[in-house]
Amino acid sequence: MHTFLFYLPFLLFFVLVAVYGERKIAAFIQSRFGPMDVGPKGIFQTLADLLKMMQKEDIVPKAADKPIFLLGPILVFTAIFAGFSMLPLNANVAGAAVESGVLLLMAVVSLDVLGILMAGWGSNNKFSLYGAVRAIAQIVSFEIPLGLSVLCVVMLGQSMDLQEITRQQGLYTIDPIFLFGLKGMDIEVTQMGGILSWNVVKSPLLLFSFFIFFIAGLAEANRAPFDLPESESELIGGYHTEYSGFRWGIFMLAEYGIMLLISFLAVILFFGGWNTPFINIGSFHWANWTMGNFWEVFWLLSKTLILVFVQMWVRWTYPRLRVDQLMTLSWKYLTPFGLILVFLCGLWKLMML
Amino acid sequence: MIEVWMYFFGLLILVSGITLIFTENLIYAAFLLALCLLSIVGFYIIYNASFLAVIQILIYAGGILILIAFGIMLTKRSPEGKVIVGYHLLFFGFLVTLGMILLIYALVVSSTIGPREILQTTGQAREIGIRFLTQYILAFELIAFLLLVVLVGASYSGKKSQHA
Repeated sequence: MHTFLFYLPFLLFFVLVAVYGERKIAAFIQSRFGPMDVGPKGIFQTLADLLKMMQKEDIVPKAADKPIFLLGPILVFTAIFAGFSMLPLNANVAGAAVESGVLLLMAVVSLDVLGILMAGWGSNNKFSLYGAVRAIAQIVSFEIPLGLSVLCVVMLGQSMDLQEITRQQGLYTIDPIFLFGLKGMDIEVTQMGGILSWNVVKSPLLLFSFFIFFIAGLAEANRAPFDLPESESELIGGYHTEYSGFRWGIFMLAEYGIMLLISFLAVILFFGGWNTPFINIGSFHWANWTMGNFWEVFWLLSKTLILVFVQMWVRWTYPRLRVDQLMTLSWKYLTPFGLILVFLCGLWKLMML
Repeated sequence: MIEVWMYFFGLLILVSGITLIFTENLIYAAFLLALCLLSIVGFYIIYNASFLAVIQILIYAGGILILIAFGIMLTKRSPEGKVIVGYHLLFFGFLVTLGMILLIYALVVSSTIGPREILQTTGQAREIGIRFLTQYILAFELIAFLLLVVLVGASYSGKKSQHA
């Protein structure tokens, strides 16, 4: 229920802020000004853009395959938004009660490929079709390293439930937590909580898993440097070339939605989800003081937004990859490294027992 | 309420399945197949087989269907912009279908697993994993080996056609 009551309004608001934020961050990185005119410092620029977009005519090209063309963007957004239903919000509000939550999330999100295919094929346009083909090849390839990096976390936590994975990374854990997960060192940090019980600290190998997850997540979201499906210099706009008005807006919403979803998932899997980063030291119970319903939501959202910022930062720093480089990266580097990490995480798990 | 959803998904499976067979547009057929497979997911969820539902989405809707659609997309369109299918070998098709129906019926009738056994809601993934690595380890490993062979073969044939 909180998916509709919290995540949907949050997503819409986030898109409004993030579009403006992205343009400002891009401008800052490239020594420009960015939006300046609408409102103070241009903060109402996105609202003005939105107003313009809503007024545009919903054009369907004459040669397009009408039902498929109209359904495409809706399916893309539905698939991505369905992923949000698995996310927990704080210790008391869990996501959908699906035991294999991570797996379902990845499965549902991978369905957005169908929508992209509908859009690309339905447009009856060579550029759109190329964009769709590239998008699908990319998403399907990068799902493998993404899955492998998630597998590392699932192996170490022995659960696929996102709420359970989060609970293991903080004060509410049932099992005792040792420093770096090594039971042999015999330094118990269960009561200290905070950053020491996050997955990346509990088993430092997961930091490498996180890098793989993050790179694959960028590709999954069709974000630069992996934005080949919509590379404007070669394909005009990729699979959404022919769309206008609100349908194009839905694609935009979906793009920012999956950015947000990937960041949420990364935070939950690797950086403690809704757990506080502060540690209980002696009589200063920083961790206990910064836990509670609202604090937990705050931590989850702030950590997620930091990762979103990193995604934007990456976008405006690195140039776009070529198609063959993209495939090489996925199949020759990320997938083998992912497999090695799964193996090493298995060994680490043996030391944690 | 459960019955309503059952009839809803059942109707969806039937309608999408039948339209899938009779549509002449190949790309519509692919998307109808997606609808059909996703409606089956609805049935799995009704019967509490949540892990199976996830796997169905992941493998059939997310994997195999994408491959089919990808194949169709790369084929040539007719001048009207549609990929048209025709009907051939109706008699043999009928025979194969009848055989399949009889086979599935025989399997269902002879099955010893009652519906109550599958209805436990928690620990499905864990249970399946443990069974795979103990009771059914040979089949599991053989399938894994087969998939590995397919993977190597696919990459080999892909490489060969590139240099030809």
